[in-house]
Amino acid sequence: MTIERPHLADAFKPQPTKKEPVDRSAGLAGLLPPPRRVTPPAAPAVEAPAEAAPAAGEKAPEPKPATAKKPRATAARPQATETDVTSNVAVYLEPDLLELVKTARRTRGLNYDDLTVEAFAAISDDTLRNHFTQTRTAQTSGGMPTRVRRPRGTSGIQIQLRLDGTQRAWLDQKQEEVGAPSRSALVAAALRLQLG
Amino acid sequence: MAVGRTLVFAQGKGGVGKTTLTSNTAALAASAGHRVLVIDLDQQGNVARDLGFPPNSGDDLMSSLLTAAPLPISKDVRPNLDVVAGGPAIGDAASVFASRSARGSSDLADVLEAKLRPIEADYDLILIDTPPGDRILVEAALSVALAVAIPTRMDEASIDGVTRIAERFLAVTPRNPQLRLAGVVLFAISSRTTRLERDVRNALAETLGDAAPVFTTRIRHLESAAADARRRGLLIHELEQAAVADRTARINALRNKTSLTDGLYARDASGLAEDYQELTRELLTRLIEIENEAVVTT
Repeated sequence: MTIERPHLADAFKPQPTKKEPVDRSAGLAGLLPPPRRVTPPAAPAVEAPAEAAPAAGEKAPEPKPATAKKPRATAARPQATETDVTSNVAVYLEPDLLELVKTARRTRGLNYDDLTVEAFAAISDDTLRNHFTQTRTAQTSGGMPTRVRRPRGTSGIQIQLRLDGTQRAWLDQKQEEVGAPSRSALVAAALRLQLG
Repeated sequence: MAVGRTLVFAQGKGGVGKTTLTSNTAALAASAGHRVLVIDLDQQGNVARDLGFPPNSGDDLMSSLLTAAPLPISKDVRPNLDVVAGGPAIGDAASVFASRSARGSSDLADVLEAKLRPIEADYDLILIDTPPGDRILVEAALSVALAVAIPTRMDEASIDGVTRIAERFLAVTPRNPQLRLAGVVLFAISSRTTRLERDVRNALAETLGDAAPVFTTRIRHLESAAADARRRGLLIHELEQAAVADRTARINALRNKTSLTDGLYARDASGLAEDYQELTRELLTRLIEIENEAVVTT
């Protein structure tokens, strides 16, 4: 007597979705612009070798002269001037503000970008300007402004906004207009004033 | 003074993920088209193991540091990724350079800067892996860095290690005022320790004040993937693909009523690969922010 068994070939067939290779470099291209050339005051003088190099035992895998130039990476990098290129913009939020933002995102079904746009729509430039002016008004009797220290335990936690070139340019302009120290501080202030 | 866009992974304690983070973030950045150089200053030389080439003695690197020879760069270990391999010989650097420095000669930081300065323009990113306890090597690496990232596990000893790097940081600041703390990376975090992770994040945020963030992305604990990666010389995103192939081979073996002799322990490394992808994105973004701040203040 033979026992009828279910046909299992399909069950064990590799799932096409699992086989799809995931491109882990996605979103990383173009994050690093070419490094700025920094001209040091003077290269440190390294003394000439007084002794012979120690005998090399195991060879490093195919060491080649370090000065040999590599062809530049061929990956396309977005031009900073392109307004249609969307890229990540890091914003650092204090822990309590991050909680407020996360709650708003969860309860209202909006993402960080939407919340940011909404905050800037609701907060006037004067309010933002006042916000940044107040943080810098502490002065000593001698007139020298004191450095404003952030309270301990309120360091920023990074979130990422996905903004296109036009939005980034708008943020830069707004940062200048209201006297914000950075894009991150500007966005954080708008979210704080809106949600706090 | 900082050389190029150099990021150092440093921690006062061993086994907290410095080498694994160095190798994986470097390879992911390179795979995205950035030109990346990894320098292994650890005498354990495990960057080689992570990247799948034979362990190195470190003699060539040590020789380069002691003579006028350029750094022994292994080109294109992966596309766009070059490596200076470390190894046991680097363990001698501390004593050699301590005595040279005492005689008034160039110290290790001077030598490292002189070696890197001519090649800084060749790379978009330079990552340095450091040993846990060697003051001279760690301070030399910090002397040429734009930023330092500190990985930590969640145990008290690892968190104490963050403090030890703070001491090294302070020692180096007069020499390299550009140096910034990029942030702290939580490494090998179990998914079942949510409350502990929250408390550790808060404790670290309290400790760091406004100096730097604790990165949002944490690297999850996946022992099987860690073992497979080092055994096979695969990076985690490569292991992710290998696990898919392994699954197919397993099924074929079942069909053929044979057994798979050298299968992977990890069945699915995609979550871990995603962690590294997100962390790399955070790190690169943070580096650019630090670079921009440096430009504003200079």
